[in-house]
Amino acid sequence: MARRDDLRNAREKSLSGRSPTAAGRDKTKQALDWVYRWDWAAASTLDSLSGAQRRGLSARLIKHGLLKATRTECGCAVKGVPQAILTLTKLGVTEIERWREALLPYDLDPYRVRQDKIRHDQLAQSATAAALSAGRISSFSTEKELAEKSLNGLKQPDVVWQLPNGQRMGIEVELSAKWERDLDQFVLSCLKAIEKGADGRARLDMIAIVTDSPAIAKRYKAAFEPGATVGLWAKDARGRWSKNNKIKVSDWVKDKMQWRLIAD
Amino acid sequence: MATNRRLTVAVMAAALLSACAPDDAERTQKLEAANHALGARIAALEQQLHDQHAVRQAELEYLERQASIAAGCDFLLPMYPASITAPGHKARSEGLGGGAGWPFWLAVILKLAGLGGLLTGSVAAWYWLVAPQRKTTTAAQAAIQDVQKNVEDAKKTAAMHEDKALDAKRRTEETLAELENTRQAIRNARHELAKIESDRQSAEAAKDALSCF
Repeated sequence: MARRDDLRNAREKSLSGRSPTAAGRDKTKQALDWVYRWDWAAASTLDSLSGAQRRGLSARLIKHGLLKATRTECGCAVKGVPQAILTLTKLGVTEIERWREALLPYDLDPYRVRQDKIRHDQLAQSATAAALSAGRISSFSTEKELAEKSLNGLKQPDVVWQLPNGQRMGIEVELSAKWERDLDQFVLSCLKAIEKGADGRARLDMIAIVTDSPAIAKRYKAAFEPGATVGLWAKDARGRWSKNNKIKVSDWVKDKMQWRLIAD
Repeated sequence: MATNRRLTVAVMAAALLSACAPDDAERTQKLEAANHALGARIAALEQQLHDQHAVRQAELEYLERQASIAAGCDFLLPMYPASITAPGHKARSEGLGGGAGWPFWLAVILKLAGLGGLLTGSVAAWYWLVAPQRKTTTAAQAAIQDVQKNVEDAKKTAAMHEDKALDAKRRTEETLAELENTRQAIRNARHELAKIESDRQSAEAAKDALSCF
């Protein structure tokens, strides 16, 4: 009896005054929109979005031809990599583009998805879905959406979260170490993102670096320490990269950086 | 003189009669009437002369007295007012006076008495009124000097107090300025604290969100 009441309460809360059909349509739109923005998604991520206790939304969407599942190369051999990734079908793209205000380029070929980035992207997606469901963020923007808005080809964070207080936090998931030019350019792009421009505003209020490696965390913290040197790279006449200058990290950067070490 | 006049008139009347025409009785009557009239007239004039002589005599005696009085008044030191000596002076200018009769000496005596009384009164007044007043005046002057000295001392003290007041005012203004600086520092600190709190809350919110990883 109590169990039935709990279920009824949960259902009423899930419906939020909508009809079951409308609620189902909204869930479909939310799932399709998610995949459209991220290019792909794991079934678990889509199901967690809907708040469903049972996994069924993804299967239903696949069944209806809106999504298609593609097995990943490593399957479940690597922790954090889903067995399959879900991408939009042509029908799914058409369906979601009916409702979206801003369109994004979408590649229908699931094999264009970089397998070496699946774990990286999955971490970002699952954390974003969890934060959104918990109300710890109010909205987010994917790298693809940010790149589409950016006119000067700036390197964008993996995802940007909008906190409830209105601040924008860029998330950088770093699972492999960067060196030399890659590290310098990574640090420089982060500094540029949080540095105030001519209009007195910065693109982002803070940057969060998320890693599962204590060594990476230590190295990157040192790279962002006030007074640390950052090399400026440019291509020479022969098209080869060379370091022609350097800058120092300012004191104020420390207050704009967040660090998150993921426990394995 | 009256007799000579009568005689003269009679002789004239006789001459006139001797030279007149035969109607002598009438003429004589007329002449006698005229003579009688003339004689009455002469008597009246003589009476008038007598009366005037008395008046003139009294007037002369009066002027003599006035002249003596004026002489007495002017003796040694003229000090009587003109209302008393003016008639005498006028009489003297007309040749009257010059004797040293009782009016003269009366005026002199009165003058001397008056002078003596004035002198005595002055001396008495000096000793009874002025001398004490002088003492009082000297004491008052001494008191005034004391007061003036006190006033000067009070002015010096007031000037000293004014300097102190100005100094106190300057220190008050400095204190107020310092207080305002402190208030501003407090406002800045509060603003800073609010900013730190805001940053802390932002960091908390960020950490809270990142815990979803």
